[in-house]
Amino acid sequence: MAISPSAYAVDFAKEILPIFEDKCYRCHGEEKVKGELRLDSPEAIMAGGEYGDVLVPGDPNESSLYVLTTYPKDDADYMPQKGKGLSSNEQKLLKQWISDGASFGESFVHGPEPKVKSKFEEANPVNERKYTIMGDAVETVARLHEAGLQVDTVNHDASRFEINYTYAERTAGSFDFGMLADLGDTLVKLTLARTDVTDGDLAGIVDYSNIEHLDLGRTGVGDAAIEHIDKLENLKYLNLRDTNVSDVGIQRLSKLKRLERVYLWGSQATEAGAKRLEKALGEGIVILGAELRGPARRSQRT
Amino acid sequence: MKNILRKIPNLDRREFLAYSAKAFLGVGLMPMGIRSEAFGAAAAPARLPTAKKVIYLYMAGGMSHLDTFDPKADRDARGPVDPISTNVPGIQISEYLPRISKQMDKMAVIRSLSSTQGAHEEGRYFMHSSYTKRGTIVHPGIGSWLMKMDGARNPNLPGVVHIGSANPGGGNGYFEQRFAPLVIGNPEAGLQNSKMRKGVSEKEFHDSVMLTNAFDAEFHNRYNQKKTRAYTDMYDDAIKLMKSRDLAAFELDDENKATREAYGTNPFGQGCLLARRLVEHDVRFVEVTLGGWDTHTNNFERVGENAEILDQALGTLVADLERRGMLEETMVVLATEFGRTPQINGNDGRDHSPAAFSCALAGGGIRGGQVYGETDTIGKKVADRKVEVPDFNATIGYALGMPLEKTVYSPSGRPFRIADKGTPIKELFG
Repeated sequence: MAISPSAYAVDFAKEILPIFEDKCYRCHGEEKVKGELRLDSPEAIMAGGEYGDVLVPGDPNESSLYVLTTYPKDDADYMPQKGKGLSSNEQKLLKQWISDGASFGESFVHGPEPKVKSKFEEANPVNERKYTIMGDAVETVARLHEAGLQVDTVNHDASRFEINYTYAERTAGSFDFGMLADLGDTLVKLTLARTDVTDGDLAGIVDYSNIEHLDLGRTGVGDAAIEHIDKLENLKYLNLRDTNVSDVGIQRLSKLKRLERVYLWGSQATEAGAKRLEKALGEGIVILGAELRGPARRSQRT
Repeated sequence: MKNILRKIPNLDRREFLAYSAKAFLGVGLMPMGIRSEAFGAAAAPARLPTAKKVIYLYMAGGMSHLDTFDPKADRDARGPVDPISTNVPGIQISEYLPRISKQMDKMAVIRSLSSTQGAHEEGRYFMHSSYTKRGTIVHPGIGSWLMKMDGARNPNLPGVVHIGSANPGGGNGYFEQRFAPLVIGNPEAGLQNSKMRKGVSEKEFHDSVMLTNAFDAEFHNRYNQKKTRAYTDMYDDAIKLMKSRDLAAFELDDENKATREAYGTNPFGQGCLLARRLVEHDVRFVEVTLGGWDTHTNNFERVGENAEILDQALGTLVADLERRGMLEETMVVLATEFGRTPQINGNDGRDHSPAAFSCALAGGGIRGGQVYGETDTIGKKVADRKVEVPDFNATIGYALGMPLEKTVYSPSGRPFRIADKGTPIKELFG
């Protein structure tokens, strides 16, 4: 972060040091060192205390040295805990001094790397993927929103999109997948759960070959739908639970070699059909699910 | 700035803009090719988090880790409870949890939680908000953070719901009222007064709402403040909900008898079933509370009874989410404020032990079948890979893709983060 000195730089020795002497040294000086923090030398201040750094040159809001003096007086974290607090003018001076780069004068020069209290830096965020959608996609997303669709990022990565029709109130036969064309290859997840989508509607999804994740759960689709689904070569996850697909239809899925999960619970598929598909796809991939069992009754003995 | 420019010769304008966006805002929308070229192909983690929703099961009172997820060989610390094997070789848990033991391949147990708060109220507050309790401010819980940062998905239902406790901790804190959880006391009663009164026609209802609005208009104009608006928003939301087909999410009667029994015919079990139904309708954060873990007296009998309720509900929940294909997007969290002491007191009880306790996670991209961290031989202190409470919450936030590094200012101008300074445990996902 660039540090731009204000026109009237705050003088540490004349303006800040007296505040420290008056308000802070009682507990953070030679005699007492509360919270493992001393404020009586630049080195000590920059070394921080029990809870880490207290001063981030250039960023008063990240500097507890300043922030804690602005808390309500009855807050458990308010500083100083003993004696009179900083006046608003003193707070302002301290804030300005930190904003200006917290210069201690010529006797102490901050290292070339400004210290950052936070574990996270803008350049190195914990999540490399972001919700924030940018570029041309902003317009596309806005248009899809307007059409009643929900747009999400997949794995919180703003270059991979999920489109959700669940709350779009489309009637059977009127699913307008053509409007997703602008997303192109960035469309990787499509959720049609609980909608009135029909087998015929799904003819419109075959062009989106990057779809990895398709949720048709709790819809009325049947085996005819799979004649479209089986063209999605990159499909990894397919949810067909509570649909009308049967053993006949699902066998067509055996050519989708990238499938990692197929959910069939509540469909017409039988255990034998599910097993047959699993044999082609691999173990653990087809999930038919069993009826949940109630608590074991201890009295029942056979 | 200069360095960045030197690194990218001959980029066209579009690429440059994309690059700048990445460099200065940390975001981008460029094709993968450009990305890896410009930044050097950073090794992606084996598995990315996939959570969009959370079912948060809170064990109020301090769940004894020794008698549930961290059984010890030490005879004195263990007491009369024996460990059992799970469906993952090498992982053992308490004999009180036979159903959960069969779902271990989908769960990650963290045995090295550590809290700084040894009292219930404070511990619960800390667990829910990542901040210690203060007199001057109330911090939001993770559910409200999620609403604030990323919003609801189902437009007709509240985004956060708490079941089974009037005071669960983790409300909207200093955020606006619209980010607050909807609180449901009794899951079987569902949402009270949410249906249109009998004999009132749509038209009559509409008219009376319009009349209310007309009466209120002047007041709202004069006091156009956050709290006044919140009140209006609440009315609008309530009306939307009354008319919604999503209201069915609250109807436990729609479930068959076997399912209801499988979850357990007790408030917590039915709460978990309701949580599953709500999440199925895209409610994003549902918390269900099970109390009664404060076992200073008669620990083993009481933990045994409570564990049976938990075992049935959680064991069933994980299996049910899995067969419905919901486990990928739904993270199940099992949390408590602290553990209990290895020493068994004179009343055959265990006392508070914030220094070491266990929590568990499943779904949302969590790699199942693992134990993270370790306590010493008697379960008194953390021996390996300590997880502080903010780290645990940061892990949930990471799973949901929330911007953990972002500082948000309360109305009084104080800086806060989703999980304070917690660091997510990314290894749990890989």
